Amino acid sequence: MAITEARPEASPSGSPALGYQRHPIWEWLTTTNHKKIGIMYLVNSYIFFGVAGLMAMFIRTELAQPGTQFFNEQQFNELFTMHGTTMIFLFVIPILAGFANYIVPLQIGALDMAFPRVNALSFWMLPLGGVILYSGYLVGGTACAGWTEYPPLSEQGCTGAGSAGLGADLWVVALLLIGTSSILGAVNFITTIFNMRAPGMTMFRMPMFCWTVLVTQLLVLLATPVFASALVMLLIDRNLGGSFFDPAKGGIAVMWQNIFWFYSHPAVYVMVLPGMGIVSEILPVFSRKPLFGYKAFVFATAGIGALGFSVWAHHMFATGTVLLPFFSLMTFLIAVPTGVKFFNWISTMWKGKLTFTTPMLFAVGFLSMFLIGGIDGVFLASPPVDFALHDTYWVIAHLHYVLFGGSVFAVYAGFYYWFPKFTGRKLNEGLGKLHFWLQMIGFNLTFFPMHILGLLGMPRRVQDYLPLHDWTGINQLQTVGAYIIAVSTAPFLANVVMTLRRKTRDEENPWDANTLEWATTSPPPPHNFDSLPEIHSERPLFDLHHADELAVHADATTTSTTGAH
Amino acid sequence: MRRWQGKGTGSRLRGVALALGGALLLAGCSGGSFPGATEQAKPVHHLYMILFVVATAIFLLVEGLILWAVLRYRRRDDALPPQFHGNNLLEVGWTLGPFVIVAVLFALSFQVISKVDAEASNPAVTVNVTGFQWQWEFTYAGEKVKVEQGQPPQDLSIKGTTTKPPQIYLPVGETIHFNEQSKDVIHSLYIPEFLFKRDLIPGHTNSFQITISKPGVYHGQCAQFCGLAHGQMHFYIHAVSRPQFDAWLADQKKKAASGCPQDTTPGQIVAKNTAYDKDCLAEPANKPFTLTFDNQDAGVPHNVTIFNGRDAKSGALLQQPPFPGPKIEKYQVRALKPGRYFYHCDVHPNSMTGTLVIQ
Amino acid sequence: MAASDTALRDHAPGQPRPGGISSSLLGMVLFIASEVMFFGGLFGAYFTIRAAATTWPPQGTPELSAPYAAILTTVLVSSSGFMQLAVNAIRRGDQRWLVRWLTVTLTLGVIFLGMQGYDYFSLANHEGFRLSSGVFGSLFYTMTGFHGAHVFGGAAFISIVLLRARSGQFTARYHDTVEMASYYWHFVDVVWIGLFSTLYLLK
Repeated sequence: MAITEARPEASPSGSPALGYQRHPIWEWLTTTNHKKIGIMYLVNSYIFFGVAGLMAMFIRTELAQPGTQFFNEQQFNELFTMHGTTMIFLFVIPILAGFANYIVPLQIGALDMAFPRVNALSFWMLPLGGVILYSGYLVGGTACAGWTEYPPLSEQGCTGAGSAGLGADLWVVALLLIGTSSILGAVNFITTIFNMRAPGMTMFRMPMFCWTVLVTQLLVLLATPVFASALVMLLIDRNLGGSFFDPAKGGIAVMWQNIFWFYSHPAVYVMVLPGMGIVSEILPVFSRKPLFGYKAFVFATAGIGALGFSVWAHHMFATGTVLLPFFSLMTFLIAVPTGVKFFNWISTMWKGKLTFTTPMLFAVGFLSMFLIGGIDGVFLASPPVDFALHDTYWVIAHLHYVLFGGSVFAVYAGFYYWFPKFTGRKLNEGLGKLHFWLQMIGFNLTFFPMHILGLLGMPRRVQDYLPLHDWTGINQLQTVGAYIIAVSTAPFLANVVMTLRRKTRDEENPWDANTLEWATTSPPPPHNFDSLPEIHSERPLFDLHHADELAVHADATTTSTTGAH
Repeated sequence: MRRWQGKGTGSRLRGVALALGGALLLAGCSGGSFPGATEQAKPVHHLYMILFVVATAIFLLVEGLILWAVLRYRRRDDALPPQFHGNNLLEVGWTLGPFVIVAVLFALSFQVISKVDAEASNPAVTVNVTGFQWQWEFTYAGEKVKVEQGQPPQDLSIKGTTTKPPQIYLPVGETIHFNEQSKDVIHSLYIPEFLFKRDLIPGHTNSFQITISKPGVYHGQCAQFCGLAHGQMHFYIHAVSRPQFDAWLADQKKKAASGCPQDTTPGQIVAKNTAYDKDCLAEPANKPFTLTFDNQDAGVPHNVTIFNGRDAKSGALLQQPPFPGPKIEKYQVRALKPGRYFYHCDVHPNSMTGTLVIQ
Repeated sequence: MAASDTALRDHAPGQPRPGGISSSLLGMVLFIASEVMFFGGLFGAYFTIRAAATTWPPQGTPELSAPYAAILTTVLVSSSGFMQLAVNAIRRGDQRWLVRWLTVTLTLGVIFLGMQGYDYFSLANHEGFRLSSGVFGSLFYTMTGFHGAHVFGGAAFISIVLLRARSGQFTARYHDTVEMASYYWHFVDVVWIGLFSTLYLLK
């Protein structure tokens, strides 16, 4: 039953209330509407995903055989540096912010973000940052010391002392810009979530996606500026004669690593928590049951956020300069709230009535793959084992299982789930399933063998390896897997194009979903809602549509742990 | 048939589960890790195996629950399932359970850290490792080499080049102490079969000790990205019996003290892959000679600057501007008195060095 | 559903619920939190390097004038006091004294910047102490330099607020922007107290 009436004249571009139509391009360039800005975040981020993905293909193609075939050492070094930097700062973090931008105001029943103009500014800093980063190719070379850019290497340049070019400076400036974009976004999201919830929506009735966004944005707010200070110090060392990281002039080389990882570790939770929020939205809908252990979930998320600030030096065990037992303990501990979430997710599905639509497939895929990534991380929490596995392909396996198996699967889940909300049409299920299975196969073929390579001693960031190690076969297998991943994007892109061109629409709540974004038209009008249902739990729409059935169903818990009623 | 009454996905999922389980079983037999060739590596391997067993168990349990839920609870009708929100007992249980598991794993790790990081007070051999872009120099502390009249003896030093990585020998079963320093950027000394690595950080000295338990040749390479030829910074440790080690030491000292037996192509030196093809040149005394320098590195500038003494601080006696390859230049060197003259490339003074021996 | 209709209409976005904080002020508080973390990174670097050094300040560092810095501190701290007087004035609806106290605050801020600039000038030219003078130079100029940039930004913000105040845009009920500016200015003051204590007193 429609709460908000679809207005025939309402179109994505133009403001009918003002009585004139704006040119679509101008409309998109100057919009401050969170839905349009959200779409732009999604599109911009996916484009960079493609660019960084192409770089991954180049890397894997070069590594398939020993010897140099296509990319020499310096080109290879630039490739993995740009691949990592782009994926993290121009894809994963912003695409999750894009979902948050579109969905959070809708889920809390607000009409926009707290600061719409700052929202637009946050977005536009991203393509600008991307252009600055990539302009390195025009000035003799991009940054080349890995996305972590450790000094003294990042101060001296990769081809020997005094070889520093403009590339790393462009990297610094781009990241300062992108970081500022994130911080402004954090101010916006936190204010929106605290101040703009609809009447009846207490904090503990917010959808879980909003909670994960809240914790994520608190991490962004507090950690990103620390990275900014490190970037500033690096820029000063490189260009103004500073010596923060130069031991010859009183600086400390390893201090960069401490400041860098103080940010970059919380950053990995920024990269995955909203994805967990997406999975927490999808599983209840396609199990037809509420999220199990809502409050525990909130505390686990907050706990991960807080603990995430105390583990940074586990990236530095091999430096011989950090207090091993403290960081090892905190790292082991962070597995506990993550485990709680897993059991909550499984319990959500347990005794439910599951439907395997494409979003549900990707959500379950997330569970299976992130599990592996979490488990192989526990090995690295143990310093002596880390001495053997650090800086080897085991770490590359771990990070891709959590970031690709985790975040990317969650992103696709969210995309298939909310596409009908953005456009009024569901994506084709057949193509969606093809995409899912191709990606599952390609992804595991590429990254699971990396555990073995790491155990066999292959270090990371090497352009070449010796044939005598018998690493060639595994490398070839991984390259084949990478090509399958590339192929898997074809049914996805075809699906999107096809569906957008379709004239027929689907209903406005095709999944019989629970939360407020589905209580309006698909896509929503500019002001989001004409009116809202009463809010008494975290599933206001579900409560509304299934009131009779819920009354018949006695609550099946022994003791409930949520304030749902 | 309703949309959600799908059939194919269930059996497909079962197939994937079997394949996964099979692969894991195969991996499980060996765990995949090297057994560890040092006394310190043995507890590390043991700890790895414990982690592996726990990891496999957790994986099978959780993945099993996911698969079970996915297969068992498919939607077959329109009625709502029981709408339970939580269960305090279960939730406390699966918070405490993992907490206990990680606490135990931490305690085990803590024990092994103490074994790995322990340092005895009287090691049998002390090796000072210097890392630089892009090779290694291993110096045996206390093993003096008498070089020539009037010069103090130096510690025996084995320096590698990209084309000739260092082959260093160490005695089995004895405590070896390593001190690490870096000349430029951060490197990392990694020996996979020792299950160990430790970074080399400029401005800071790291040290560790190992006792090799099995004779063999162990490959190592740099594991901290350090620039262009990071992937080519190999080295090899030959672990041998004490008599063999002593014999090798004596032989190395003799080679270092004598002239330059490695110079099979006198009067010529080549630069390739940012390395000289030889670290030692031999020429007769009191006679001017021509040194032919072949720079085979396309676009990379090199030269050969010869100094008056044993290092670059002693003033150059021959210094021509560096030039990019591919190109050959002939240096005319004046007559020199007997002695040892240091040479290096001005552009790559750390990695391209050698000694001109005049006898 | 009718109840929600009226509730939606009455609940204007951005206005605080009873007991809440307005969005503009919350936004400024959050922004200041991020700035605190930025300076935190710089202070962290300072204390790390100081802890690892054998002599501190390093050999050859000129004596930093604590009395001069104490004057700077007095200027900035008093300007914070005057800023608060300005806020109190507009809370009472007194537009005249809002303008006057804002003017005093801004003047003191500009004096601070001028004195800081002079300090840099004499350190660089008379003592040869620059950003490139070893790690202490890097730390000193980066930390005080970014602080100075924030003072400049705050002064720009106060200038805009002052111009708006002069045209009567603020009342007792609607003056959130003045409060925002005062939060930012107090923050800039607190950071200076930290810098003064660390660089000039503690050493």
